[in-house]
Amino acid sequence: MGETVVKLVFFPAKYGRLIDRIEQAFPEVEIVRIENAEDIAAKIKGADAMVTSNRIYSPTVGRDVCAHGTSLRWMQFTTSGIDTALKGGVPDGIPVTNGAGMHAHSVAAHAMALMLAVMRRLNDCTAARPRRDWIRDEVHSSLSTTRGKTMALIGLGAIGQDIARKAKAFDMRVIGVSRMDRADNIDEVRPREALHAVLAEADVVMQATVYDKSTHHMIDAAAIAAMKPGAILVNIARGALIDEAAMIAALRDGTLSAAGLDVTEIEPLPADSPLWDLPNVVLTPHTAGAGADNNDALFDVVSRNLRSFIAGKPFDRVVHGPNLTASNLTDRAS
Amino acid sequence: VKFVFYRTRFAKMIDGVRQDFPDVEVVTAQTPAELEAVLPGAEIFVTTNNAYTPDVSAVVRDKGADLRWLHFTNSGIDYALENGVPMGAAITNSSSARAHSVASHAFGLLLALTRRLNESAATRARREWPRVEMNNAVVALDKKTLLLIGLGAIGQDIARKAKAFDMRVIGISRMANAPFVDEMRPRARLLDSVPEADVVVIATSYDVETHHMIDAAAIAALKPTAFIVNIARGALIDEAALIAALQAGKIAGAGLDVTEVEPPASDNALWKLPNVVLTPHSAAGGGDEDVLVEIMTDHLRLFLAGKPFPRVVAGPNLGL
Repeated sequence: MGETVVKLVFFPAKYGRLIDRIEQAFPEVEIVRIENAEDIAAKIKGADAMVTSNRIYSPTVGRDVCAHGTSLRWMQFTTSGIDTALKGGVPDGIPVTNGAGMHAHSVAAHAMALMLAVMRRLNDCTAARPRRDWIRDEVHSSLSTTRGKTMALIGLGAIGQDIARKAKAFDMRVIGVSRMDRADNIDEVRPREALHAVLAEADVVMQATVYDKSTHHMIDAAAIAAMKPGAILVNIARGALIDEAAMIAALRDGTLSAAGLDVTEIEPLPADSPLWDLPNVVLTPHTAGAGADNNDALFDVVSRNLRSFIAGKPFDRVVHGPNLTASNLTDRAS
Repeated sequence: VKFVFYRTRFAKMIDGVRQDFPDVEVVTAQTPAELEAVLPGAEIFVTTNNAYTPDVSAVVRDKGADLRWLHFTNSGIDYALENGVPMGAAITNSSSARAHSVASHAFGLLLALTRRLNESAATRARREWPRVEMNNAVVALDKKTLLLIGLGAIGQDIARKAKAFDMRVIGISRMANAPFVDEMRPRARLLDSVPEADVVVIATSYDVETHHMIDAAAIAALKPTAFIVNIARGALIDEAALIAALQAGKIAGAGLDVTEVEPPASDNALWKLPNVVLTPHSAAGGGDEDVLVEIMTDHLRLFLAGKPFPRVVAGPNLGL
């Protein structure tokens, strides 16, 4: 590999300062910036590797990458999730790495922002501003605090673990729902089979798990019915982890006191969704992972993996496809 | 012993004293006129900073000759001190009870600013989903520098929370050090320290010395990307200078639970500024009535036993 110039394509071409930094740090790498999806077919030819995002990886992108990216030997996603991309299609037999952990701090901070916005009633305060209404007396009695409250934290990956750390700094009791038997900052871990029992104890239900067939609608009407009356639901993972229709009904009848949602079953949220207007919902447009692109973390992950790739060494972690080994490098090259 | 509650919202506190301290004569009052009638002979007076108006101060001066202890069920007592409290009575507050609530609220404001919740609310009203557009506007807190002014119970809790967000914490305080604070500096170094801050959180007490401590010069020294959060008192900031900076985009935003005049006048620009998250002095709200009751009754036990309080904010302590 020593003399080979690696050709690396970035799509999209907007990654804060990431691309410039990679270019400076790896003079031996030829960088190709793909601005538009229509240019993929032309520009991906001969590329060894691709850095891209789950956010923009549509079926059209997938089709062009698979059809024209025949020389690709590695794909790096800057996102944690790659579910959209897998649906769109990634080339067979090559290692796919993701940005797990990289956005964890950002997503965990966003989860806390949504929870606190609900507890401190920021929606109501913001809505009162155009009326010049200082609603101190109205909000005072209904504000809630974090201390001593119980959080059911579903999913203890990098994001869940960081949420737990933050929740402990807010003096909450954290019950994790996970296959792991223990983790830092978690008072108690229970398996998914015990979900309903955990929900019955929780003041805040925090959805931070991976979406797949087994977790589809894991918060369904029965799970919502098992929750404490007046509980708060926060979802920073994937919309379809929750049965949205059941959640909307519960938000309307007060079974759930409020929700903080960064994700919905269909995104962008359809214009006729009641979630647009429910006053007890704090809604953000899937921005929980934002704020990390300019961070060192993204550069660190991409550059570490790129060094492994250039050296022909296995990646620390692959989320899809085989890892890099001397043998599959030779196989692909021959 | 005669005990007067003035404008106390906490039924649990009043009932608790009646039940647990049968020797204490409990009286309540809601107006200065009622207070005037019941105050003579009272040794204990419990109220809040907000309720302690000039009228109340006048009644206390004229009729409160027997008062030995004034207790406030909130933290800041600047308004009461300004209106005048009796010289000979021990004055206590409930500063530790609300610290965690105020600190959480401070983070609620800061995270609302950095995660752009105002913008999400505004685009939501237009049925827009600006996921990609918002990507570069959202700000991560890790490795950012927090300049934390005031390290009392509230400030210390803010510092602890900031560490869980991996922030670097510079404290401004007379104290030499405190847990979770990376570096402590005296107030004289405030202006030098401001340019280092990505976030300034004001959590200090208000008095003549701290009036407008964040003045036009301090605001001008802030980074253009900096956020200011104030959960203490409005007049700690020169509000006119803050508004000018927010309007001109000289700083990124402000999270304000307090304003110089409350409620703000209807023509106050803070109502409308999109880079402001504004809450109606609600940082201390929520939940912990029980803690306030506990603090009050702990003090009452000491008072009845003739023992000194752990801390008085003004006046002489008991039994000394």
